[in-house]
Amino acid sequence: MSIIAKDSGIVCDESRLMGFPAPMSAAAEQLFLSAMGAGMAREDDGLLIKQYQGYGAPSVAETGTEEEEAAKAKELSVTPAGKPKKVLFVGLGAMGKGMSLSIKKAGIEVLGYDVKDAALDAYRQAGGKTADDLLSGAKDADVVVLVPNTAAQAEDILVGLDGKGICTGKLSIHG
Amino acid sequence: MGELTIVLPQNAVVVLCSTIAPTAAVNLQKALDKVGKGHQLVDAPVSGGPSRAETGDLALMASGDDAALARAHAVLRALSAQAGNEINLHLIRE
Repeated sequence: MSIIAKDSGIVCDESRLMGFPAPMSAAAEQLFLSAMGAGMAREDDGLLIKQYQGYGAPSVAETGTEEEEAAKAKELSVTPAGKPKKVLFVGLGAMGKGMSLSIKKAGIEVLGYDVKDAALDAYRQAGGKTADDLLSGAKDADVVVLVPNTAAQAEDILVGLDGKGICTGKLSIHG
Repeated sequence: MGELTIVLPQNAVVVLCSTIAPTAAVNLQKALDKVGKGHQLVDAPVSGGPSRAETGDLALMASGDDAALARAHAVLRALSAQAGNEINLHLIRE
């Protein structure tokens, strides 16, 4: 800890002399200094996390055997289920258009939908197939991809609660 | 605006590619559960911009139920692995 505190001090001193702002380094230096002040000078700098535990955060120390922890650390592996028969892709904007066409390029049957006619036109121009409306597009779709701006829009598309649903922050839950 | 869940078949997977709060994802799954057709949400925010969306080369962090991830896998790979970058796709158990 004392080494990294010293090194971050050097970085901050140099940047100050050059008149170059380094706000993240400044913040990091303060954190390392607080660890030093807490008596952690001889600890590994990674143990800075112990400072946060002091504020009531749960312990992050590993408690299992080496094998148990190694198994937990592995990325989740999932056995893929094969191509879906039909995908509905909702939201053909800046990201959605390219994403939906990528799905098509992978040989997956995909129908695109957007509320804006301009987006639908651009998508068809680029070779995509569009649904006439949301509900006919959703028929028999095993996978739906949504690219709305907000969770509230996603909720609206899925369960149509017109802004009175769980995701709009109001306390009432409709059912 | 819509009510997709009325028309979607049983056990359809809903892949959400926007960046939303973790609690919003939990709430959306609750809304799907209420419909009672086994619809599962895969929360899959993406990163990389429009040019990487077009080449199917987005970084994608997907979390969801194992069965839902399995059914969505081909689609997730179509979005993230088509430029040969297998490292783009990260699957997370919720």
